[in-house]
Amino acid sequence: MISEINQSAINIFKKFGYPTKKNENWKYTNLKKFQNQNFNTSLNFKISKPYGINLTNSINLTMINGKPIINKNDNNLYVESISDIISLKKDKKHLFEIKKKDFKNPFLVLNTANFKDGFYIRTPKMSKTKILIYLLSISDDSTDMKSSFPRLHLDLEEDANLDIVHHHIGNKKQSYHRNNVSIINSSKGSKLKYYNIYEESDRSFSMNNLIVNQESNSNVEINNFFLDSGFMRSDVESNLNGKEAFFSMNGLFLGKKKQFIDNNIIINHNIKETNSKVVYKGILNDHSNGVFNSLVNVPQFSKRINSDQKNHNIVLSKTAKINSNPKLKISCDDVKCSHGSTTGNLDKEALFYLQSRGINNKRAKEILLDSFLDEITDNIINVELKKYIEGKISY
Amino acid sequence: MFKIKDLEVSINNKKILKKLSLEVKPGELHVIMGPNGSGKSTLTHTIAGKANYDIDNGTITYKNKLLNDLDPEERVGEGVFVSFQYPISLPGVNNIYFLKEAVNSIRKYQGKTEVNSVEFMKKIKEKIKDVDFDTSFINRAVNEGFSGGEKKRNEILQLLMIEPSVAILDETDSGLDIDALKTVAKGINKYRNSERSIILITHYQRILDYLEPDKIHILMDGSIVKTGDISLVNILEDKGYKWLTKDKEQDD
Repeated sequence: MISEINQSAINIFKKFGYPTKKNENWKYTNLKKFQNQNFNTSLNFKISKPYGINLTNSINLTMINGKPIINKNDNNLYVESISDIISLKKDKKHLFEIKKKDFKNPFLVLNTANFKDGFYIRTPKMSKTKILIYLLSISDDSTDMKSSFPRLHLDLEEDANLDIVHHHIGNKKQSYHRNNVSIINSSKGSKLKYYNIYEESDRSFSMNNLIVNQESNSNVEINNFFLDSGFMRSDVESNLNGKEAFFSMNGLFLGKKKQFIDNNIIINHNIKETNSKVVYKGILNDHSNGVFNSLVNVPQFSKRINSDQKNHNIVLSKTAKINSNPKLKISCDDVKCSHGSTTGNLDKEALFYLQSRGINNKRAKEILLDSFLDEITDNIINVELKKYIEGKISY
Repeated sequence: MFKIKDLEVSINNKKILKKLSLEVKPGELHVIMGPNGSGKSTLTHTIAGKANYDIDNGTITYKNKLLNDLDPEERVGEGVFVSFQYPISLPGVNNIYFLKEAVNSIRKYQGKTEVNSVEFMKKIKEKIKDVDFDTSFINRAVNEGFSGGEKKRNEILQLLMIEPSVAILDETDSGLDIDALKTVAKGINKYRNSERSIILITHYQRILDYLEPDKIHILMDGSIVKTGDISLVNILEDKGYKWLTKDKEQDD
């Protein structure tokens, strides 16, 4: 029963509660404001207006306030609601329970304490056909102060090849809380390209956990686009559990007004000969506040690791702020790990040069910022998706 | 006519340009020479409208329109183009995209319709030949990884694409080998016609072998101390700038 999973998570939360700033992963994050809010779980499963993108040849899935809308199954894909999985397949129950290592991850625990449903997606065995999924996750209710707990479990079988666009979108006029959990298991030789697009309201509290477990020779590429945020927390955990597994992640975050975008990344090279690469770029304006807090963890015996983490930021106003902290924890020889971080203002000389060639200040800024973000947006292979995202980028 | 009158400019409270005056008629090519620190680059940056180059006194006008308080993009929109001694590189900004933005922004400012892609491509293919570029250059990021000579030729390409009425060229001939120098001179001559004015700032007489300047000005300590024809260059080559300081002292 799902209520049993909920209850055991409630008990865990009662024991550990919310973290304080003393916790390394929460030192830049003030949860006081969130804790003072009074959200009620949304029971609305109808949307007030159309949302989302049309992508050619995609399998379209929709979640409204955490509830999956299940249509007929596509031949190339096994899609089920998590509530059905839990009630029908007892052997799968463990997939949704909190692991001991996650007891101190408050929003993973809280999602598990509150979720009622979600999508369980599995690619069929031995299918090498490339599949594109568009998963639209909507937060929208008739009143303010509603919360939802969307959940996605994605299992890639051996050698599967999947692209998934996970579009998190909320009613721009509302204050809501979204607590999303996505868990991905990538089997031997599987290939995944996963886009997270966040378009939240200014008054939202969006807490997101993504956990990726990879077996040998699997290749997972995550592309995160934080286009609009209120209070945004993103936790990503990568577990590289098989030789020659490769995890790469690109991120783009745009901060405006009083938005807060808090990125926390942990990459565990649990076994030798695994590779990871992270590039995040942020542009912060007005009174916005950004965080890039990442850790690459190389335990003893994890030899011949390749890892690279980079964070570059441009701050456009005197009142915007960024904390950037890429870290390495290496307990092993024979590894190749690099990390770097830069933060600066827009290059005034470059701006002047463009203006001296007739391009007005506003357009010149756009050209320079677009070129700064190209390294991230160039990873969007799908032309329709790229057009959509580039159309949403504004400074 | 492009006119500078009694121009006074300070940077960090230090007066750099002192009552500098200059008039360039359509079709004329004027050359400004002067020792290091005489104010040549301050003059070009002031004309281009760079921040912190504040005009204390005096005027810069083109066709009687005051340019003093215009933004940099408005000045080039009015027809006054400045090529810089050290062109900046713009990583990630494609050269052809940049040029198209520039050309169409200026046309928009001037109330003209935008150039379509076909016309634009036709024009750029013609102009890159004038600066001896092959097509690969226009698809690269602006000045990124360009040699000194390639950057200067790219400035001339911009000049030929933008086709301003007045061009101020700040040491466009510096650091060039003989072939690049000839290419730059060829570009300037292609640009030149009876309607257009050019001010060339240089340290060397080399490039003047390929151009036909109308006037030579000597800039020293923030103002123009002597104006003459091409023969002035030969005297300078011979005697250096010290000759002028002595001359000036004797005058006093």
